[in-house]
This record gives sequence, structure tokens and C-alpha cells, in this order.
Amino acid sequence: MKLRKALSLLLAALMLVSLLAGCGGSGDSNKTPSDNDGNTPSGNEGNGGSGSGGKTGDGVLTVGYGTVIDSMTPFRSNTGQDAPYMTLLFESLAVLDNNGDYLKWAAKDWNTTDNGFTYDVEIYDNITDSAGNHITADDIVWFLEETIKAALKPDFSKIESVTKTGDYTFQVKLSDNMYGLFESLMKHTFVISKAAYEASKDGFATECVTTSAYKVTGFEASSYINFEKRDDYWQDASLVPPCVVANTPKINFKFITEASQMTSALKTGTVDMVIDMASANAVQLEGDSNFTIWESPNMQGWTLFFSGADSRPVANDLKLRQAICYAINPDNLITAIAAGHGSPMYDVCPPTAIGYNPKWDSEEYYPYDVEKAKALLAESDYEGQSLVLLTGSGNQRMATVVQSDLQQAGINMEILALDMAQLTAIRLDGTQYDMFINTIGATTLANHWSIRYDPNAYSTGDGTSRHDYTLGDMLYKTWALDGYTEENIEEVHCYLRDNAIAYGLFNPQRFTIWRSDLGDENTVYAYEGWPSVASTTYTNA
Amino acid sequence: MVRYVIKRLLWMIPIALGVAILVFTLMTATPGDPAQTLLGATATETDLAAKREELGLNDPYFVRLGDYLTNVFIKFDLGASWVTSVDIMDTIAVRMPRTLVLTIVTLIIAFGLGIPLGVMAATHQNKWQDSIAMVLAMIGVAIPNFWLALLLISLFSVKLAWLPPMGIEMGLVSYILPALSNCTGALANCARQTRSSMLDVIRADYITTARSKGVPERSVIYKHALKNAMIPIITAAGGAFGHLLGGAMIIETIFNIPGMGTYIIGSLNNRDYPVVQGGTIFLALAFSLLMLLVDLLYAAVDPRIKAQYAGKKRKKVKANA
Repeated sequence: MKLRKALSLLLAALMLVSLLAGCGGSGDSNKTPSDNDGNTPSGNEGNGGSGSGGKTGDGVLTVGYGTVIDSMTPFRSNTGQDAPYMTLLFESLAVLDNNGDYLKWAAKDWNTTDNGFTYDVEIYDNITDSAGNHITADDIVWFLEETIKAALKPDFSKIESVTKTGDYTFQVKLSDNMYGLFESLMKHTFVISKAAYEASKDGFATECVTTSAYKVTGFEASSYINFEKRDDYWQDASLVPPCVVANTPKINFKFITEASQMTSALKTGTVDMVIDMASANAVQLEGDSNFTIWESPNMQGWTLFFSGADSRPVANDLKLRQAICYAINPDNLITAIAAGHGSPMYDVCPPTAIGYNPKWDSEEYYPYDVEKAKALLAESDYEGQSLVLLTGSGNQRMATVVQSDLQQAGINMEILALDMAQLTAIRLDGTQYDMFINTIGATTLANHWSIRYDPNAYSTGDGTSRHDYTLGDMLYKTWALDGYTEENIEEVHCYLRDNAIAYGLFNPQRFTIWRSDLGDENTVYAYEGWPSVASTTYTNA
Repeated sequence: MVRYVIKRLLWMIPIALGVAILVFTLMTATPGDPAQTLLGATATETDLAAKREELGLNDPYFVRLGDYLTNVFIKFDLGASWVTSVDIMDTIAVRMPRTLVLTIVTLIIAFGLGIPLGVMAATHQNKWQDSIAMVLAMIGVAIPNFWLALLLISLFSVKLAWLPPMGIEMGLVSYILPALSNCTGALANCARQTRSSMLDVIRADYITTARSKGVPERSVIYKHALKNAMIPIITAAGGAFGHLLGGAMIIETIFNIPGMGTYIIGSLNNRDYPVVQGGTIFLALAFSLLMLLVDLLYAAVDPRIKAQYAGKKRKKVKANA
């Protein structure tokens, strides 16, 4: 009897805690630690700003972001290269605005005389970094050579030579005149002082000399990075591209890897803004006037690649590949993975890629049809064997939805979910899987094609071990500067679609959410779809 | 006693050596190519081969192991991260204190609440207080700490706005929620251990004697019984400390604490072998030192053990004479 009483009491206590913890009622989501005691916290500046309360008008914009930065080194791979803090760290020769146009930044001018194989570039003659070092063509040539040597970015391997032609001019020779390649190189060529880099104890890993309009005032790997506007910035504001103009005096980035903590950070005022919040968390803030929600199409859609290795059932069985495409219901994926915020894809690339033709959105692209999938399956050579779907360990849910859809059509499938290191090690070996779910990250269609479908790219064939030289010839013709026409692009699009080389699954929306009391005015958007934290004016930052 | 401490410290050398060899071998056997992870999936075969050569991955296993052990145990150099190029010891020096603070605060809460709870359960055996304490202990063991963490954040940070939801910038206050989330398992084990240990002691003759002499009950329990029941509790504390030290990763991730847990797990994902190896050796040494401390604490709380140390010394003097 006493035990029952005790248990009842305990249960009541637990229910009370659950109730208080937010299972019911909305409460005052803007209440912060600082509101509670009436003090204006000072912990925001220079330390990442945790627990600093709501908007205080202290001139610091605190931004939460999920992708961590381990090191500030300018020599980095493509991973995280477009993170919102990158343009605050290093100025580059060019920048991409939200219209998809490359604008000159540290580069004063460039031109080509031989249809995109050779470029002559001129940089401004008054560039200085945050340590006062004067930047010349020597520094740029050094950076390009070091980047090629480090072999971290595939685009840079297409540079044949870099030659200094004057104090502020240099020439770049390319092995390929791929559309957008040179501009992409300009975007990813950071303006770094060789002297400053060599004087650094750890190659800018923890202490960095910047060339942008900001300097780094605090950094801890995987935790935070803080910026403050430089007083000695070299460029006249009127000559700076609008998407990188420095209007915000201080910007602190906090790296929040636990997705559910993003909403807590916003509600408590620990951060003023969250960039790229997971849709499942973002929808919790829908309809709350305390927050402004900005949705934009993602730069990275999810695509299903089919193995091209002869040993796999899907490699040479078009009917089977098409059956799989028809059997997958993108709406299921959008609901399960993107909380309903996403759109089906109509190409292997999302509509944000430069070169994407909007007319594709109204064309038929393997609409979900189980009966058609079954019919195609009957015509295929499929004998009921279990197909292997390769995916990252974080995407098992998506793989499960696909597995369930395929099961409906009578296709057996097993999931091979690996951590990123293992996935990276085997993804180019098409003999180990039939299908591979991955995101597509590329600024232009040409860039994407060159990474995935060039049969000469890797020793085993293309990105899935396929040796399709018909497609290869089509790509080489199309991605050349003078071949990047709507007609040629259409030909590649139709070939990839009709031969089911890969299948665009869905494109989740990207969420940026900020506190409505931030007072944002004249919002400027970056190419990636989020507000440019430096350029937008925040009256209450 | 000094001789014992020196002996235990010397024992830490083969322990560290064993851990180093084990972790090195496990990392070598783990699937995933560090060169590929560092350069990305689009790296060419030539670039990968060059990177593997640079990292020394083409050398035979024993050559690499020999080089690694020489660097660590002869040159006392854990090396630099393959990903960030930052010296591992420098990073550990910054991150280790945070994990230690988190662990210590967790232990203080766990044992500060767990011991009185266990004592209450033992002194009210089979009564409602005992039942409540043991049900709480069961819940403490069963409750997932990441779930509790989110619940506590919702209550104390979002609703009540008392405590920061993440980060460490507010000093010790920042560690309260992480420690509360992390302490339930240790608290429950401590309460159960204390109850069990106290039940053994309070039935002893000397407790009956103390009571019959009219010593106040509070004094009987806390001065006579609890002190004698402390040995298993200290052992549990030592084990809990090691467990919390090594298992802080989840809580560090949720609360954005840049400690050892997030450092090692992030490096494991990147196949950053030197960091994983260095971090693990460091944690193993920290745990060994802690176990030594626990053994020394036995002597501090139990005069019989202290007498044993002294006895060994006396025996030796006698034998020499």
C-alpha cells in the first residue's frame, strides 16, 4: 500500500516536471536569463555569446550554425567551403551573388583571349590584410600553387600553370575551358599574404590574419568564431560587391551540432539567428511572431545514383533502374525527411544550379507509379535478389523510406549505412552497392557533371564506376565554354533522365530563422539563399 | 605509502603502453582511408597516393607502431592533428579541464544526493522512504541522459530562463544543466551502493554498542556507520569518475561543450588517428591516476588500511634488523 502511494507521488512529480518542461502551454519564449534578473549581460562579446540573453543592441550579431569549423586554414577541401563565415575570413578574387552572377572582389579585372583556356587577371594594388601586409600578385600565385599542391579541391587540378606577369597581374592557363570553371576558381582563390601565413605557428589553424573587412577576435575549433569589423579595411565600400559589404560591426558564430538545440538557442537569445536549421526543428517555430522564418530552395538536392559496375544487377538493366525511379514516392521523402518542406526534383540537380532550365519542372520525371514500376520490373532481368543501398549513417531514415517504397513494387533492398570516412572510402567503388543516396553540391550543372559522370575521371570510371563514353562525349561538348547552350544542356538532361543514370529524389527547403526583434532592414541575400550576415543592416544587433 | 605510490605510478607506464598499442592497432584496423577522408571523394589516385605517403600510411604496421611509440614515450610528443595541424597536447591542455570540471560537478551532484538518499533508504529499510529512494534509483539508471538533457533545457533555460542552454561562457553555472543531465546513472548507483553498504554496517555489533551507550542516532549513522560503509562507495565513485570522463561525449555534444569527448569523437569520424590515439592515452592515464587516488583515499577513511601500509613498512624494518 505504501509502495503504491510512493509510486503515485513519484508519478505525479514526474508529470509536473514534464508539464513545466514544455509539454503544454506556450509560455514566454522571449524570456531570457538576462530578462530574469534585469541585468544586461556582457558575456556575448568575444566568447561566443552563450547565455547572453536576447537583443541588447550591443552591436553583436550572434549566429548559430550547424557545420563546425575545425581550423581556419585557407587550404581546405570543398566541404564547408560555402559556409557563411568563409567570406568573413578571407576575401577571394570573386564572389557569387544571389542572382548567380560572379562579381569581382579583390580582382580588379580579368579577360580571356583563347576561349577560356587562358585568363589574365589584375588585382587591386592597395590590398592589405588585418596585419597590415601588402598583397601583390606574388601572394596570389603562391596561394594558387599551394592549393594545387595540396590537392584538396578538384577544380584546381585543372590549372595547368600560373604565372606572375606584373606586380598586380598574373596569368592562369587551364587544361579545360569548362563553363564556370574559371569563375569558380576565382571564387575559391583566397587573398592571403604568404608572409603572414608562413609566420603563423600552425598555418592559420587557430590564429588567422584575415583579408576581408573583418578580423578574427576569437576562435575555438568546433565551438565559436568571432569577427569584428576592421577599421583599416583597404577597399572603398562603393567598390565592394553588395553581398559582402560589411555593415554589421561584430558577428559571432556559435557552432551548434545538436539540431534540437538550435531552437533553444533562438528562444533563449543565445543566438540571434540560426542559419540552415533542420526543417523538423524549424517547423516548431512556424506561426510564432517572435521569429522570422526564411525558406529558400536548398543548393543540395538528394539524388539516387545507380552503380555502373558490371557486377551489380542495376548496372546494365535500364528497366530495373526505371522501375526503381517509378517506385519511389518523393512526397513520402519530403514528409518524412523535410517535415513537408521540400519539392520533388526534375533533374539530377536542384533548380538552384546555374544552367538549370525551369521548363523541366513542368515535364514528366518518373512520377510515382507503383503499377508502372511493377510492369517495368516484370520486363527487367531482376530475379528478386536483394539490392544494396549505400548511404551515410545519418541518412538511414531516408534509406528506410526508399526501402519501404521499393518493397511495395516488389524490389528487395538492404541498407548499407556507413560513417562518413567509410562512405568516402568506398563510394567510388560501384561494385559494393547498387544505389547510393547522396546530396548534390555544385554551382553549375557542368561542375556537377564533371564530378559525377565523367567516365575518365577516376580509375574505375565515373563517380559510380560507369564507363559511358556516349555520355562522356556529350558532356565534354556541352560543358565547354562555347558548348554550354540550352540545346546541348537539354540533350544531357534527357540522356541522364531517359537512361536513369541517376534519379533526383527531392530538394529540401533551407531554413534561416532570426529573432524578429533583430530589426533587420535592407536584407541582402547570399547565393546560398540565407541573408548575408555582414551586409544586412540590423538596427537592434 | 610513498613506495606504494611510486610502484603504482610505475605501473602506469605499461598501462599507457598497452593502451597505445591497442588503440593504434584498432585504428589501423578500422575501415576508412584517412587520406581519402582528408582529401575528399573527388581526389585523384595520384593525390591519394601522395597523401598516404605523407602521412606514413604506406609503411608497414610495425614501422608505424615503432615510430608512434618512440614519439609518445621517448620524445613525449603526441604529434599534431592531421586535419587541423594543431598540436594535440595544446588542444588537450585546453579541452581536458572542461571535461574534468563537467565530471567533477557531475560527481559532486551525484554523490551529494546519492549518499543521503542511500542512507535514508538503509535507515528506513522496507518503509516508504526506502521504496521511493530505490524507485528513483531505478529511474536514474534507466533514464537516457540525452532525453533528460533536452527536458531540463526546456524547463530551466527556455521556460524559466535560469540557466544557459549551451556553452561554457558563464563559468561553473554553465555546467549545472550538463551535470544534472549526466549525473542520474551515477546518482542511482551511488544510492544503491550506499544503501547496500549501510545495511551491512548498521547491523554490526559496534553500532549496537554505540546505540546502547546512548550515542545520538544521527551520530551513530553518519559518524560510525557511514564512515565504515565508505569503502565501497569510494570504489563506486572512482568507477563513476572514469565512466563519466570517458562517456562525456553525448552531453558535451548536446550542451556544446568543447571538451575531450567531442574532440575524440570528431577526430574518430575524420579518421584523425593521432588525435584519437593521443586523446585515449591521455584519458587512460587520467583514469589510472584517479584509481591511485581512490586507493589512497581508502587509507584516509579507513585506519585499518592505513595500518596495513604502515605494517608493511614495520615488517620491512624488522626483517632488515
